[in-house]
Amino acid sequence: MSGALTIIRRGWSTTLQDRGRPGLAHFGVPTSGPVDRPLADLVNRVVGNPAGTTVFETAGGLVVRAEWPLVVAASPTGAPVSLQPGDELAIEPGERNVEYLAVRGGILAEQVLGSSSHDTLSGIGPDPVDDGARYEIGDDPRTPVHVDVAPLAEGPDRIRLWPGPRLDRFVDDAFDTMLAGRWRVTEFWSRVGVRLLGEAPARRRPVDGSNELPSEGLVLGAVQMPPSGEPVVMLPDHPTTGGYPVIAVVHVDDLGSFARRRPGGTVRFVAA
Amino acid sequence: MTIHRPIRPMGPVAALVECAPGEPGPLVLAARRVGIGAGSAGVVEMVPAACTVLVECVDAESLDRTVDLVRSIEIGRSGSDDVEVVEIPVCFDGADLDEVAARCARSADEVIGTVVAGPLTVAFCGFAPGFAYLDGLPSWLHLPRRDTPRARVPEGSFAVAAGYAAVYPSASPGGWNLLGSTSAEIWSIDRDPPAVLAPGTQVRIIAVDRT
Repeated sequence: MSGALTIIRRGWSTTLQDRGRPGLAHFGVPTSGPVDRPLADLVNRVVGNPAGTTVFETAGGLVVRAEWPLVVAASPTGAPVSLQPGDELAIEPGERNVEYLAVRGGILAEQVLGSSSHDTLSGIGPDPVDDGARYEIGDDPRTPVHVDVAPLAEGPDRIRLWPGPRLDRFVDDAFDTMLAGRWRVTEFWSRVGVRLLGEAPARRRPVDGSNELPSEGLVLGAVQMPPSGEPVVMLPDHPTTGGYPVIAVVHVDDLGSFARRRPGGTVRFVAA
Repeated sequence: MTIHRPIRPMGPVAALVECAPGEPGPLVLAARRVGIGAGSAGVVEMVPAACTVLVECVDAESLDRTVDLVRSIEIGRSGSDDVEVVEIPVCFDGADLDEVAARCARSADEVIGTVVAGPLTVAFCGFAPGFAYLDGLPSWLHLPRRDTPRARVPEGSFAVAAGYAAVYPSASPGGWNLLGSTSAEIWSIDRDPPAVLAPGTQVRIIAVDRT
């Protein structure tokens, strides 16, 4: 340990996240991990941490106080900041759905099934961050901090989509419909998934006289299409299986950019 | 005869391997026996479900290689190989036992006798971490979920619904029909692996007076 900080205000939806716990889906354990992985990687890089070091993920409102001298980076600015004992740092709600705070040396947190990520679906992992909690900080990684400010590559205008495995469950042009339309990001936005609203919902086609599909495995970015025609895009805490046909899969490199789209805004897709 | 199960790609590094009902769990176990599974070279996840196995890899090359192997694995006939059998002691004190028996037009003893008679097989896990769907009940014991789910089903409850049996790994809301309870710890986050009931595992229910 080489430092500590205290949570003054926990803010909204604040959790610890590292790389998550892949490899346990066959036991029904979601992968978890940061919703916006490029952004989490960026704040770690700015303070000289290896990618995947435990960071705070927050929808904003998080206030921390340094108990020791610390070097931190918060994603709204993306610049390293030195804090002296007693200094406070606040992350206000920004233009993105989630922001990150990295601390040089990493936040030392309980490991559950090999990860310090809090999984909001199953509750596995360290508890959500709360007021008054104190976190110890890991040893200095002995890497240089030489970045003044790290800009985040601007996301693509259109999010790339692969065709899903169950296109035969829809009328012929269902994938084209996903690509053609403008989709509204709804308020049903969580670490589990995001529901979208479109102008022309995909129409389902019964297979062997049935619209029922037995549950099957899901990947991060899978787009499930329920009968309502409002697709749900799977984010890191998604259930390991689901019973709605997967119409498309978001390109993994565009997931961070997709996760930054705010409810009320729109998103357009293009074939990967 | 070489088997070639159909494949449905789910993006560039994942695919569903279609299987006959009842095959996915044993298929994942058979793959693990030859060294292929979540965490083996290039493989991120291998997730059985009702009629599919999802294979997710680190890249397209690993996916091609893994799927080629998984789609053609022959599943050993039950009993032909030294399958480990997990025994679960169950006290048949469930709140729905009599109702289940009545709906099936059998006695409670017949229901219990049937559950303990045959080995069950873990078809797949889902719903909650460590929640294993156990295959192998006769069709007369295939009941739907209850009309109104319970707000809280205690940890260790042994229940049937949707054609499967299951043990609740932790307390949760649930709509299954409760036949009994077990003190066996089938799920623990402090253990590696955390679940006793991995896909493909054979299970024998042992009737006990109390847990």
